[in-house]
Amino acid sequence: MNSEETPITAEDAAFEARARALLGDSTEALEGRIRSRLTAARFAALGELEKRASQPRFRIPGHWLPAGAVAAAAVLAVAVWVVRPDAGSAAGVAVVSPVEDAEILASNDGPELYSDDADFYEWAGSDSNGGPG
Amino acid sequence: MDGSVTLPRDELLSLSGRVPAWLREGDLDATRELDRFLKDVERRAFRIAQIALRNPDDALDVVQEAMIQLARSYSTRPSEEWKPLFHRILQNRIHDWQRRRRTRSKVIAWWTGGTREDDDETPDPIENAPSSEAAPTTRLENDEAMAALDGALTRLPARQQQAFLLRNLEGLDVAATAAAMGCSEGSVKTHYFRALKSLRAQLGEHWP
Repeated sequence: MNSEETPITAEDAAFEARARALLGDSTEALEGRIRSRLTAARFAALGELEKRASQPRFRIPGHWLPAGAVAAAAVLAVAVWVVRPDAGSAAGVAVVSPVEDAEILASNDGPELYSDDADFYEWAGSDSNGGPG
Repeated sequence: MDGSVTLPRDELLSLSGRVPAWLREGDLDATRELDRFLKDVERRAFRIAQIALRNPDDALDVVQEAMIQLARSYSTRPSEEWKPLFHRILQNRIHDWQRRRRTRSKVIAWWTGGTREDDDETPDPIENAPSSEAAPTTRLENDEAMAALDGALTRLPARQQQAFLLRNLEGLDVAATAAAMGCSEGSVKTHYFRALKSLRAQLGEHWP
């Protein structure tokens, strides 16, 4: 059963009114120590407005900081990749220029030229990668 | 003279004294408006917290935390939203405080090996009654009635107590009470109705 099904009686209403009056009186009868502490609490809260006002108006919300950091790192990584395309060769990895590939493909040499001497090319490749000098 | 202090103009100016000039006017208005609001609700908020926590110092701490949280997070919201927001924060803080207190009392009970109940769980209507410095005889009856009402309120389940105090002491309507309690309006009506019946049953005819 809830309040909508059972109306408040006249006795209930009288009780409410008396309780309201007593509670209201009790807020007016607070001792001085309590009133002082409440005033100090209010001042402390208003001080928060001062702190906020003294901060710059434009600020990145805190919850965007991790996403911003990730995005910035991604942009930096892409920039490094684009600006230094030959970075791999510095680490000893053989990099073939696209121009060289085009020359090989455009030559008149048939594929049999390379398949005939496959062992030689395998040896040459391993020598250049792992050999002395 | 009711003893409360309105933030004087000089204090307001000193609060915004380090604010750039182009911000100062609007911030001063906001500070004044928030000051008025907090001054209006602070005593009732204290009583609500005091009845819930049964300790005036804890109640003061909770009210201060709620005030600061409102200023920090919601002062830019329209002022008509402040009251339900403030009471929502206050109720959350009260709930957190009660939970910490229960945990602490369990740890203490375990540590001491006893089964004693937390002293805080025992309501003391006399201690919780509002002070009445040199109370005149004509106020004695009201003081006794208030002490009895305080005791009965502390024995209510938390949700009934919240509903009764927010409606009856703070004067929130059903919708605002529901917003402050984080429940439906139907629940507010039910909690309030049960609180009313329980209080009447507890106090009965002995309530002066």
